[in-house]
Amino acid sequence: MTGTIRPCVTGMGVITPIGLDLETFWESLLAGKSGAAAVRSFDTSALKSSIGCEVPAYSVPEPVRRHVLGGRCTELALLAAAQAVEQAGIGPLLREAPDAAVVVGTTMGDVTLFEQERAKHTDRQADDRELASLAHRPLDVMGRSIARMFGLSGPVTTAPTACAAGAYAIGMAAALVSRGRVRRALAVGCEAFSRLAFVGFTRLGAMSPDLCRPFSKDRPGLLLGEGAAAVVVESEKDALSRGAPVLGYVDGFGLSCDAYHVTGPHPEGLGAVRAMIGALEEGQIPRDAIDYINAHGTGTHLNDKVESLAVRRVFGERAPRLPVSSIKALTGHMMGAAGCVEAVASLLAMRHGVIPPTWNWLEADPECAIDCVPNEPRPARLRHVLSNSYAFGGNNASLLLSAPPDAGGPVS
Amino acid sequence: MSSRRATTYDCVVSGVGLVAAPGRSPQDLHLSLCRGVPCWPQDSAAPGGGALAAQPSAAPIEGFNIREHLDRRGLKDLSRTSQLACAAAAPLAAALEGVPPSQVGVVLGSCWGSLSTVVDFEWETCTVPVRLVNPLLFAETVSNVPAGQVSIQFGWSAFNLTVSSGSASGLAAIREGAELLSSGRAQAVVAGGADAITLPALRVLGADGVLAASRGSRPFGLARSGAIGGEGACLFILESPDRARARGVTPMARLRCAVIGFAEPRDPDQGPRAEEVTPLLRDLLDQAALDPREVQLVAASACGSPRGDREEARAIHEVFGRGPEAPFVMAPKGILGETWGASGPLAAAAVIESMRTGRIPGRPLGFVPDPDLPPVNMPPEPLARPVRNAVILTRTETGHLSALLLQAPEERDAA
Repeated sequence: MTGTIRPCVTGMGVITPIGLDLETFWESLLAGKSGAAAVRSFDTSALKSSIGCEVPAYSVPEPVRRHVLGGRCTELALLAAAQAVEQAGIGPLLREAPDAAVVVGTTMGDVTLFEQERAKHTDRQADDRELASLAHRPLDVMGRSIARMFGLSGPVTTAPTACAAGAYAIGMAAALVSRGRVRRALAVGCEAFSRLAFVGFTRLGAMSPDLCRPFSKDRPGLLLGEGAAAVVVESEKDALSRGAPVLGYVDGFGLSCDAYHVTGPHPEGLGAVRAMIGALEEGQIPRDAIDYINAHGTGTHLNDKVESLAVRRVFGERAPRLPVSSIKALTGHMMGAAGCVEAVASLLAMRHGVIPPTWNWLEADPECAIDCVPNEPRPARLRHVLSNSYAFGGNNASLLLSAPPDAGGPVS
Repeated sequence: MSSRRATTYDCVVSGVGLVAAPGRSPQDLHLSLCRGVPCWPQDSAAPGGGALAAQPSAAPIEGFNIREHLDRRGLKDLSRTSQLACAAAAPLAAALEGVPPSQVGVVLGSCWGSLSTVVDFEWETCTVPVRLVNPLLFAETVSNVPAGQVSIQFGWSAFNLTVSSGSASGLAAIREGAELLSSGRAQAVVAGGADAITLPALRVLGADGVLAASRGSRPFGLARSGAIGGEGACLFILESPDRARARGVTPMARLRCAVIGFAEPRDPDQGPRAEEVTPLLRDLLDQAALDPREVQLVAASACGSPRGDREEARAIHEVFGRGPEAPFVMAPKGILGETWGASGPLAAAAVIESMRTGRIPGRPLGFVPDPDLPPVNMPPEPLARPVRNAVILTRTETGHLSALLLQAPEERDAA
């Protein structure tokens, strides 16, 4: 990172379509258990697509519920944050020193309350009651709720940077710690299953009618998902001094903007290339040291083609042998949560020494000439991992994550 | 041990682009504040104002036309927030001559994102067949698209970031821009805020009791009853003093120090209490190594909130004291309305113009001070006074806090 302090991760939490805790999530990634099912949240009869990856039924304990200022997205965020804080064991520390930062990434924020209120009124007239569901300020309500739950008084920042937001949240949190602005930060990516997004992506022609098959030839498109992930970031020194286990390091945060098109990537992948190189340069890690890339890999024709091209541009001759996988075949595209969930998957992969594969892959696509780790987990010793996230507005982010010394897996 | 919050920067403001109800330049803005006449029609039945102007608590930018700011195709389909942001960015493109576009990053703060487009899109999805729903309208619902549009229009590609923290978004964006600049991610950063006033937001806030009951905002004034909903965009060029000098650009101000924080409001009508604001302001001054008496001007966040303004007045009074050495205070929202994400940057632009002209705006016309508030040193009339150091504060009813300390450029900054 750009600062002088090495930021590490000491706690993680996930609420996803394939698991409501770290263990179940990881087991599902390795077993190929998909979250895809018929959409339950709203009526899809008028839509071409009716499959999505929704979070299974969950409960919100009363100590969490009383801090929920918004709707479903806020619930998911708080549940993930509670897991991360518990794993990090920093609950008492936050009470003693409440100036930790909260950085939240999201795409739509908490608009589902508005959708639900509107759906109750068949005449579709916008009355004050329906609009009042926006009064909680849907963009930043998740961060305020998290600060409220832990009694925090440090900076609360929301980065609504669409489908790269989860990665932005981790990168910004790590930068705050690395530069000594705060000692601890909680980074959260979150998204609730939204009818607006479902219709929007359908109209953009990006949705798959059945399965998501990242990097596979004739891939049909993405599945929309929802979820949340949270990580506790603190200085390595602080973590070690209090005896907390280090789960991994955030060593680089590469950013770029395509400045090309609102919804489509630059056809040459220039922005994606610059984000990956930026993360490597910030971490001062040579390209050869990257053992795995957790791809954005949405399963759309264009994204996977351009991301593959960008990987080839950055890693050259090594690219065809560099493992690159996408977990979106199982989780769907969790939008603002995706980058954070995928960073957690990357940290788990380093810890367990296993690369989660790209499930549902059928056939090689010459336009995706990479090793996408198809359909089977792969044991590997992972020292450094890149996690890529791309978004509307041309927002690109790559996280460089590094393993703790006790990480598992066979040495290649 | 408590973490340090305020941060000092070696950073200058070398360009300002804005669009607001009074006009499209810092001079227009400052002149309007000095005139002391609110930007909203005093007669709600004024002809030609449209649906927004007919709202008793709205101060829209009348007649805003993006084509007058930027003559490019496809702009009319953008959300109003995107249009406002692009309009504010337009004059900065020329001011960034000599900086490669790949070395310019963008940070935009917005409270509401494209709320109106969200509501419009939701409406469309329910009232027309799905196959006819406009996919581009969906793209414009996404909150980072206004910032993305700025990058697309001008090719600024070092990075692109949107931040949202209520009315504190704009100053938070400037602080984040200074962080990214100082970490070497770009040679220059375009940072600020943009928000459009929309009927849905007005209705939400009206129901919430945030808006004024009548067509008057009256920050710190007697009979204040809430905010007037405004809109606007204001973006700064941030770069290092050395780089500005090398480009032959004389800076407009130095961004000396910035701070952001949060205080869970105990009462939503009140926002953070004075006791929660004062530590941030003191930290800002401490980090800048300034005595409160060395600050000549404070741009307040007050919007006419009965209880919120009281807390802010208490905080300013507590930190800066009273008497002849206390800084003057201006409350731009009494003229511009609450412009949300744009409010902090617009206040900062007015401060910079006060530094340049040596003229401090006075109270809005007809202002009657609230005798129950701690005295706030708002001059009765505009007055000539050099401004060397100024603090810009934003605080939101939802608990966000942000503040900047700007300094007038030094002789050594001159190109």
